Amino acid sequence: MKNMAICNFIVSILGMMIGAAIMMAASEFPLEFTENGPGSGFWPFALGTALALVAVMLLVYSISNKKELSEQLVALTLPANKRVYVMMVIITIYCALISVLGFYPASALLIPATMKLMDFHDKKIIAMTTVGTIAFIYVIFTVLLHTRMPQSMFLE
Amino acid sequence: MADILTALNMIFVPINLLGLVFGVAVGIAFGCMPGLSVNMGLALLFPLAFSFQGIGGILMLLGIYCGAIYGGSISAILLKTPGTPASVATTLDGYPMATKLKQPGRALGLSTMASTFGGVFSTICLILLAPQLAKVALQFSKPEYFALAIFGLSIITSVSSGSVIKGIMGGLFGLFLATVGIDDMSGSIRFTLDTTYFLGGVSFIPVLIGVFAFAQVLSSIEDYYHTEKTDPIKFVDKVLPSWADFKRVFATLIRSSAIGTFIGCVPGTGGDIASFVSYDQAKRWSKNSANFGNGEPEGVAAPEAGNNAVSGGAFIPVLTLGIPGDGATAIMMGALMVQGLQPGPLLFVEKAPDVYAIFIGLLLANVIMGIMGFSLIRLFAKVVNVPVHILLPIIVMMTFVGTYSYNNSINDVYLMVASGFVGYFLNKLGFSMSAIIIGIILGSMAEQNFVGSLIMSDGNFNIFFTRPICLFFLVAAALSLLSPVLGKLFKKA
Repeated sequence: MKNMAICNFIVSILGMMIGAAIMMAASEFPLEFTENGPGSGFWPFALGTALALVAVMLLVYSISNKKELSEQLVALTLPANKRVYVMMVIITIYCALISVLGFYPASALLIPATMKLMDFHDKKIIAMTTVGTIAFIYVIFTVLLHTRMPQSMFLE
Repeated sequence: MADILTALNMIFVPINLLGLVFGVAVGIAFGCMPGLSVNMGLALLFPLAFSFQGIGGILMLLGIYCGAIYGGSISAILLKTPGTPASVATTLDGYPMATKLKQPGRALGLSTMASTFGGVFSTICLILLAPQLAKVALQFSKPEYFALAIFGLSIITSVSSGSVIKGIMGGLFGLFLATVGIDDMSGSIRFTLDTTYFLGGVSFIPVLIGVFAFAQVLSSIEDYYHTEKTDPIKFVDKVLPSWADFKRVFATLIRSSAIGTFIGCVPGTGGDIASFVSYDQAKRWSKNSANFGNGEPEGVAAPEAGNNAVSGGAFIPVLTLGIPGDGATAIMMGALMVQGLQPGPLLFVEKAPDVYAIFIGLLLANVIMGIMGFSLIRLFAKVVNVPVHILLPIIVMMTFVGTYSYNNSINDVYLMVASGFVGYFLNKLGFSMSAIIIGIILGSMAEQNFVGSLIMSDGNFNIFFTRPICLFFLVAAALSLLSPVLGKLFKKA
């Protein structure tokens, strides 16, 4: 558990950094006014400036309401959150596997992995859900809509 | 009249009607399953909408939009777990009616009747009011449109999120994302990270599916860890409301529908606010106010009429001014834009048949929703019981397939996943996803009209403060942003 005051502090620092990065990136484009209006960097530069200023406001707000915000807890390290982080790792691996194995074989691994992650271990239902979902996607997208799903890099 | 006939010809094509019916059915299913939201349903099926020719895809999304708002009441009544935030108020009397009074069919029937009534009522208001407002908006020029974009964004950021400052940050970030790619005014290539992928801008659909559907799946996985199983009500009795019930709730239906339509017109509000205000008013006006919370028919009808009436009201600012009121209408507006229909007053002049098709489609969606509600309620009551451990993996797959199928691009999938991961953390930190999406949608409108206004005035910023309508919207935007501070000051005073 983290409290909202700490989270806000991190968010405001990140906001200032992103705002500054946008300003720097925008300053590489024309900022001055011509007969064609403001340069193409003007609007994003203004947005970056505004983002940085609002991030400063968040910081000031968080400092001035520190006591109140410290009582608001943000769940980030509970077992339930860890389950989400494991899911994120599974999804990242799945993204890599789509290119290596192809969409359908990778999906045949993702569905059981997700169900097992959710503490469900009935093999029969896992198999039925996997086959049913993949068959549904195949019929709708590959057969009816003619979508060419990603194939294994070894088959291309 | 010719436009209306053309619109009818566009709608009454078998595939389009099928899309509408499919959309309503999917919408109800999404709405009634706790953890799945209106936005998620719309985002997931957004890419499929483009498989239809012409208006068919929009009709399907309209069906999902209406169906999902109504569907939320089914689980609210049967499980005491609202499918959508808009149905929270329905649990107050719907669940007691289903359990204490042992009349689940009566509660579902009342909610179906009220939802249909509210939806039809607000669509009629939309049909009557939108063209009039569009006529006024036709006089707007670039400065007014810029001010409107700022006003729209300010309302969303100040109302929809827990933190105004974070809402503004989200909105600004969305506006920045809209600048990526080739600048329409100067032709410069901006912030593409030297990749061709971002030349056309940040693809809207992967971000949409990422923040509304994929991030929601991750949150549901977290919630599932704590979920305690509730025994669902298995037997649903007669669902058609009796004449006595209809007479009893009729005044409530009218009042709540009017409240819902009005609240729907205000950007940044939504079904949850409308349902609670309607419930509160029904309680105040009722002779049996002491019985509210124990299965009072008005207590079921009021929130459902109110939240469904938001649907028509919310389309008034979208179609006439191009300002989406919440995440769902932002998705609908995105769908219209992708189909080449730029919302705003000119839409009523240049694409009048399409506008009428949307009106008639929304009306039909509400009627189909009522018919489905009364005839298939027992089926939808079973959908409520689909286990989350089966449902979530299927939804995860649909987020991937939906994103990929839109453009056949694996980069879109990576963008969707990244948006989902970021969206999960932003949700936890109290950021509004709707503010980011609305920022992306309004970004182009804001920048183009900002630059256009300055060209009109030779770089003089006074143009924004010397035109009455423009000034009105800018002052309204400032007041809306400052409203939390002003509210505290008034309270102290």
